[in-house]
Amino acid sequence: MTYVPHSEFWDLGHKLFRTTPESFPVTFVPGNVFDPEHLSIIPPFTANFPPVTTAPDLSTLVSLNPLRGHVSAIFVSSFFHLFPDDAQLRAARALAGLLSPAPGSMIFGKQIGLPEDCEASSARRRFCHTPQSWSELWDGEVFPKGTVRVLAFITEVPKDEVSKILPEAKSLHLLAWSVTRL
Amino acid sequence: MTSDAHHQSVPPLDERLYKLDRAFFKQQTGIEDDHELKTHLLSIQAEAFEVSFFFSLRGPFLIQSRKVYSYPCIRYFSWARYGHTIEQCTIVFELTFHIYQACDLASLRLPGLVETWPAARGCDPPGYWLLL
Repeated sequence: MTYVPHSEFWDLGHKLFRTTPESFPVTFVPGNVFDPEHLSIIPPFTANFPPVTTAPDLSTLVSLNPLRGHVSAIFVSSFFHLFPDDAQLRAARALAGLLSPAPGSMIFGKQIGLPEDCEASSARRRFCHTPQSWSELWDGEVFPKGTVRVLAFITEVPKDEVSKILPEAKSLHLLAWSVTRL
Repeated sequence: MTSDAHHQSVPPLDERLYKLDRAFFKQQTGIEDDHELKTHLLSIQAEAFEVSFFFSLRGPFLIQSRKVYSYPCIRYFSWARYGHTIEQCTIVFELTFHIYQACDLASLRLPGLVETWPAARGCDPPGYWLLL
């Protein structure tokens, strides 16, 4: 399947806030996180193995690959819950390759999650992590154990709001988290 | 939890869910009139909902659920009711405050924050930020 990069939501952002690429000159690089041409998976850089490339000029980017090892902070919101667990791990590894090896560099975000002691269907379990499973994924699978600090916590969406978001759902929880290089 | 978010289709748009961080959007869009602001946001929402519908045609949700799945957060005005950036940056602040202790980020309020980030100002975070 050929993937065509989409920037519709970015364009809608300009329309929403009545801005233009000139008045709001933030570089946007549309692409498929699972496409190696856009972002290939490499082991996370470390202090002993820092990137050999220099940080690129953002305005020249057509993929995220030149940024690998140079990003200080990556924010990922309402993203991981779009994919099942195996794809989430691949996406996490891809993003980890972007992170600078400098201590304090971080990846953080939030998405739909599950509390630890919660009954959930197998389908939801495939898409949603608990704070513990999410921490174990980053600290041990994506990054070598003990090289990052993971914070992850669950908040519950109030019941009367859940019915407005997904009328058939009984409950909804958000997982907010950060992964910081030690 | 018997029903499941990943096995449901999303209801059509509903104006009654319209809710926004009014001051934030007035300040950002320059639209002062409440009715005009609502019309503007509803039109953006309809367009975004349609885009997400077409995304879902070949996305993982369809594979999982065999149903077309527009994004519920677009329908719920998640992107408007919390001032969008506020909610996201609050989490940023809570989790990253220790990094930026040199900057008095806690004293920044939203309008100041939006202007500060990502424009080049005194309190810029170091290095590149990638927002997904």
